Amino acid sequence: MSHQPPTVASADTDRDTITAGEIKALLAKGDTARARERFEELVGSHQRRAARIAYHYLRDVAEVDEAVQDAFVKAFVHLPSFRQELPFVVWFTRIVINGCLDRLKAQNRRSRWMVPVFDSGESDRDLAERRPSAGPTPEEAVQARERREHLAAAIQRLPERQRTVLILGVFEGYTAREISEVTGVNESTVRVHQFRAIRALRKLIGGDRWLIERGADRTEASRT
Amino acid sequence: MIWNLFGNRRHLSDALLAEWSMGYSADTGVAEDGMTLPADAAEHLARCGHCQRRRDELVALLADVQTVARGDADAALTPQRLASQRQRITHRIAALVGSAAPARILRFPARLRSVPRSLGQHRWLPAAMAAGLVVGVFAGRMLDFTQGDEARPTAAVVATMDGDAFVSASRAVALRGAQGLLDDETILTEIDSTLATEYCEALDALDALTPRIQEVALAGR
Repeated sequence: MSHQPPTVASADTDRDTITAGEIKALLAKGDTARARERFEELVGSHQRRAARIAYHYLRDVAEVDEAVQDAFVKAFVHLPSFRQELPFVVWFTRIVINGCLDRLKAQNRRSRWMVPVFDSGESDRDLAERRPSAGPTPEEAVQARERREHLAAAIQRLPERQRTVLILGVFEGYTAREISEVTGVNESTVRVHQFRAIRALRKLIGGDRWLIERGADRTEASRT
Repeated sequence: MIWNLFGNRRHLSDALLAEWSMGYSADTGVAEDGMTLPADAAEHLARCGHCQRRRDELVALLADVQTVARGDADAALTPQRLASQRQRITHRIAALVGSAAPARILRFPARLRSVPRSLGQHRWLPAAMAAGLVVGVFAGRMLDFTQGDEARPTAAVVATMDGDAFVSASRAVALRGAQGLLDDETILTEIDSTLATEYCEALDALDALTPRIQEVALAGR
């Protein structure tokens, strides 16, 4: 049993911060073409993480597409104001999260005026009728989907700050210090939010039942 | 529910365990940022099976939640979607700095192509349709004008309802008016002249209400 999410602070992030600084210098010189080329390196190394974070917030792939695109464009436009003492990943994550929160606010505003539309995505029936291949059985697929939805619903019910701390800390492996830099909240406050988020999540998903449903080895662990 | 069963005095607090469990590795015994438990807490954890279970359970829960959440996101964000997303990012930034590929300009044709023969043979068709439309509209307006005049009752016809005595006086005028041959002034003149010869009681009340020119002139002074 080992839970060690890869932290974002690594040699890669240091390299990205340096790259961001170089792009900033290129933009200052007016070499936008070269800056654009170099920026694609940053897109390559941060796109997946940004998309995942946005997905945890928005839960809609089309919205995620827009949010991630906007975040990268905004980052490029504001690179001249980037300070290299802050890791690029922290600065960029802040842009992603702010964009997601803005979109959520806009969604809430829209939902007050619009009739909800039923999800047209894959239904339980579709999953159950899917022909088995090398992957999980239809029953397992349905159960996995229910678990994902259960977890997603629990995350959505958390207060905004706890949700951010949980997404960054537990899902994406940001340290408390990095989360503090992203959110602008004191590091010790981040730890408090983290604890509260874990406690609330455990309650919402039914921590004991969750683990029991996951497998016999954990069932044994929870019994003893 | 094992959490906080015995209170924090006898066991490690939930907060400490939760904090330590973030990024905890069973192999190294070290949590995130190289954080280690305080010596007395580590000593307690080493000999307390209850706290060890709580820690293990918490670590397992966090690992599992992370797996499920990441799996969910990865299933939704397929490599194809990410590739097309990246393409759009590149394109938007290129458009922003003005180095995007220039838009394709369609050349205006140097000389107009000749009209196909099949179309030229039927050139009279639109003209005929336009002429038909004009004739139709004109005929419709004429028909409407004629019917409208017939349907609209003249003052004389309305007046026939007020008294039988008026009928004989206005019948000729009404018939002629209905044919559109007389204007209002002529009709009124004819009614006046007819009334001068034949007394009509039915119009007395109306006559009493109508101000005389002299009365109006006197009131004006």
